[in-house]
Amino acid sequence: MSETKQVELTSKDKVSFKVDRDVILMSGLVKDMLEEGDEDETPIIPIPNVDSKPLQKVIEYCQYHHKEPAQEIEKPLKGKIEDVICDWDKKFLEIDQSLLIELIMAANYLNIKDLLDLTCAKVASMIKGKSPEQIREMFGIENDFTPEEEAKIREENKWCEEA
Amino acid sequence: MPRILSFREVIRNDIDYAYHSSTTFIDTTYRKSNKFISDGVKQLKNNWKMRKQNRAEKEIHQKTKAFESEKYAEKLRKTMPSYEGYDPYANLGAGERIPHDALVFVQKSIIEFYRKEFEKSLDDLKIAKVLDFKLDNVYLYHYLVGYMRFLNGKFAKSIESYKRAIELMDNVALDDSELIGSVEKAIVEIEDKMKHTYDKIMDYFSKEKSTKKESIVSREELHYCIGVSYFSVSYYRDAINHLSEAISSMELLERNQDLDTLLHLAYYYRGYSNFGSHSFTTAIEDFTKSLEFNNQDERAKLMLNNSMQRMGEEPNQICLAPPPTAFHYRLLNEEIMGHIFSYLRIHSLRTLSMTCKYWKILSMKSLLDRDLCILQYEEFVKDPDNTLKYANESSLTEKLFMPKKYQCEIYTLIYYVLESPFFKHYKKKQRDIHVMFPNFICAVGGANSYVSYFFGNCKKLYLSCITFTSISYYYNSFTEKKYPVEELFIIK
Repeated sequence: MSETKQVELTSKDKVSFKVDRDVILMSGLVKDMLEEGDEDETPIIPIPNVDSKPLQKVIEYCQYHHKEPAQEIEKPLKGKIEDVICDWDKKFLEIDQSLLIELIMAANYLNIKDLLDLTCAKVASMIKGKSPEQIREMFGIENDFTPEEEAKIREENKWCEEA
Repeated sequence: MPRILSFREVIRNDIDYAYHSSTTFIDTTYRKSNKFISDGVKQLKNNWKMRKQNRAEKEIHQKTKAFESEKYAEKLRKTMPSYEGYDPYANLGAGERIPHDALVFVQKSIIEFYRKEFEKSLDDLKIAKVLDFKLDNVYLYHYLVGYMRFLNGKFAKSIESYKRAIELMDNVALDDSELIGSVEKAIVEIEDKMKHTYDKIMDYFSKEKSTKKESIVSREELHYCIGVSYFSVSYYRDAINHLSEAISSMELLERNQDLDTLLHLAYYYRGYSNFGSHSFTTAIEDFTKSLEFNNQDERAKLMLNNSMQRMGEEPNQICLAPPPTAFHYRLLNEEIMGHIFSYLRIHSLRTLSMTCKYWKILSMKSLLDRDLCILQYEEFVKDPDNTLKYANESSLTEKLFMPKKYQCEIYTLIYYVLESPFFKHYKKKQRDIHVMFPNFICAVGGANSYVSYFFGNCKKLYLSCITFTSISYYYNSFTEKKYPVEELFIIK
């Protein structure tokens, strides 16, 4: 029986994860690193920008999707994101906001396009239908318009409020 | 070369595999049954907690069912009032009591509200008005509609309803006072039915202490509601005006627990609106006042600290509240934000551009990056699914005799959209554009000329959902080379 080659990933908080090489090749960054490096038995790849919690989620995603490639998500989203993704992805996205943002950063750093698309589309669907004030609260944005600018924006956006 | 396994090894591997798979099997079955039990317990607990609500709902459901089955329902549907001045009593016999059924739907909407099904609740209120158009003169009805619209995120429309409620409150016609009374009674009755015995006892004691309320909603509360709705859409000046109105009248009343809570919130939102419009000194005053009514509110403390920091003062509140969001946008770079924005419709992009200067630039950039931009009515409205649902549900009579007001609204919408500075860069750039309008706008005509005026700059223009007359209009315009469009695609 031939054993599948493995790769060891070390997170920012020094936790190691052993993953099948085929699985983690979904990451553009790891793929490039493996191509450059020597053919070790189990190469150790440090991931200094990602904590263990999001990294574990990333691995979970790759383990499922390296066999079943994710379908592309339409742009712009017409309905809810839940209507266009598979059941596994729906369950995968049942996470809190802080982990979601870490996951986006991890997917961006590791260059996993499908995961980045999924998480970004999730944030987009969270923004949909919200008022500017609710969005500010959600993202910690401070309103930096002066009262005059605010009045002008208000005039310009009559159509945007309730059509 | 693969190693050849001995017989013993093969057997061991098989056993290992069998053991492994059986444990996984047992594990998953165990988990499944555990989940089943815990789900069952949760359901049971929920049923127990909601038993009164369920009972009330069942009762109401039976009443509405009766309404569905009765003969006059058919009659009623045929003559659905789509314009004012319709008298539902005219076609019905003496024993057929429509207003009573309207109240049943008002009660149903209250139940849906407690179930947090706000959309359904709003639908029930709409049905109630169809059954009894006189509800339009009841301030309580408009308050309920306003509140449900607020909860559904339709802030501007909720303001409209609240304002109408205040208007009606000031001019109560004698004819309507009976109906107002019965609506009030219906609401109190259904709320009482849903209460558990414990709550009823607690209510009895608290009522002894506090002064009895004269009606379900007061004028001060309505002003407060309008203020919060304005605040939610960042119209700070209007929010401040209405909240000040609410506060000044509430300050004159005799203090009780409910009033204190309302005053606390009113000061908090006025403070936040002042903070939003950069009047930090007034914001500090408001947050301090808000904390006088409830010194446990961590949000108010956090905002007071923030306002003091903005004034260069040392924050004086010990605040245990977590940071307002774990999702701070500065954690994500411009590229990722652009990627997120690319999944949004134009309406959402436009909303994002109203949050802060940085996002205004980002959202305009996101629009510029789109090669093919589909401009259709659904792109500009907040809740296209519901709007379309309503458009499809409305009868032919309603569509044909749609009041002029609505037509104007759609034209104004298109005008504002296309004239808006948000599109100024976009219009300059040459690109492929896909323009799509719903049939009924095109049938009225006029909208098309806006399209050709504003998007004459594009090289390829795709048009769809248009009528035969507009096709010939476009064909002539483009063959006469009125616009620099090189290719025109008409999708039918």
